[in-house]
Amino acid sequence: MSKLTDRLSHGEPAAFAELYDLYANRLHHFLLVQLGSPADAEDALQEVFVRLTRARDKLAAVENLTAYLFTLARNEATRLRDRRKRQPAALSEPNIEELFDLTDSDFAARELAESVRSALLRLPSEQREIVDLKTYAGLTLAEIATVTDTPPGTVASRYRAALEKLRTWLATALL
Amino acid sequence: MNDNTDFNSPIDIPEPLSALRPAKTIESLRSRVLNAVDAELQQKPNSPAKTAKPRTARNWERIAQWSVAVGLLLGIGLHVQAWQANESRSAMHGLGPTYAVNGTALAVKPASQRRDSLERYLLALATASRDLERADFRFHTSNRRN
Repeated sequence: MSKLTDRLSHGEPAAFAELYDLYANRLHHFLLVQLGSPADAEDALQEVFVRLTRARDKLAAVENLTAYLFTLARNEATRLRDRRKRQPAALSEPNIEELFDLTDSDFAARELAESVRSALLRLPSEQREIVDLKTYAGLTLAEIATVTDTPPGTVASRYRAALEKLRTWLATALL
Repeated sequence: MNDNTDFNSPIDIPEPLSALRPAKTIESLRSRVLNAVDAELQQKPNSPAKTAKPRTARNWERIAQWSVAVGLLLGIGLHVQAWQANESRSAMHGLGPTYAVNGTALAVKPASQRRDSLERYLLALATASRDLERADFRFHTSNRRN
C-alpha cells in the first residue's frame, strides 16, 4: 500500500485508477447509506477522488490510506447533507440493487438483502455508520474510530449494541 | 467482544450481513471520476483558483455586516444629536432639567424652580389668550359699527 501512496503522491494517473478499482464499490456503498440517493453518492465519490488528487502531495505521509479515504468520504457526505438541508429535496432510501451485488441471486438471497437493508436503515445513524464501515467497507474498529473521530471503546460498544438489534430484527424477519 | 477487544482484528460479522457484498458502481462512473482526476492532475498542485471557495458570497456577507454596523452607529449618533438639540431647546424655554448642552454642563433646576417656570409660562399663555380675545372682540365691534 505504501507503494501506492507514493505513486499517488507523484500524481501517477494509473495509481488513481488502481485506487478506484480497490475502493470505489465500498466507498460508493458507504456514501449511498449515508446520503440515501445514488446520484448524491456518485457526486460525493467523484469529489472524494478530486480532493484526494488535490491533496496528493500530503499522501506520502498518510499511514492508513483506507482510513484516510473513508474520512474524506464521510466529510464529503456531511458537506452534501448540510447543503441538502439548505436546499431541501425529497428524501430517498436506496433499494437493494443499489446497495448490494445481487447478480445471479435467487429469490431467497433477494429476500435476505431486503431484510438486511430494512434493518440497516432502521438503526440509529451513528450505529448504522459503524456497522456499514465494519461489514461492507471492511474496516477494523480502530480504523472506524479514526474515521468517525470517536474513541475505540465507544465504537465497540455501539457496534455491539447495533449487532444485538440486528440479530433480533433479522431473526424475526427471516423466520 | 469483551474488555479485551482487539480493535484491529476483523471480527464478529453475523452471517446474514456478511453474506452480502456492496453493489458494483456503474461503469460510466469510473470514467467520470478518472476524467475528473485527470483534469485535477493537469492543474498545478494546490492551485488557489480551484481550491478557493467562491468569493462573492463571502464579500456579500462582509458588505452586509459593515452596512448593519455603520447603520447602527449612524442611528446612535443621530439619536444623541436629536437628544442634545431637544435639551438645548428645553433649556432656552426654561422647561425641565438640563444636563449638558454642547459639552457645557448646566445645573439642574430644582423641582420648585421648574414648577415656577411652568406657572410663568402658563400665565403668559393665559394673558396672550386674553389679549387675543380682546382683539377679536374689538375687531367684531368695529365691523358692526361700520
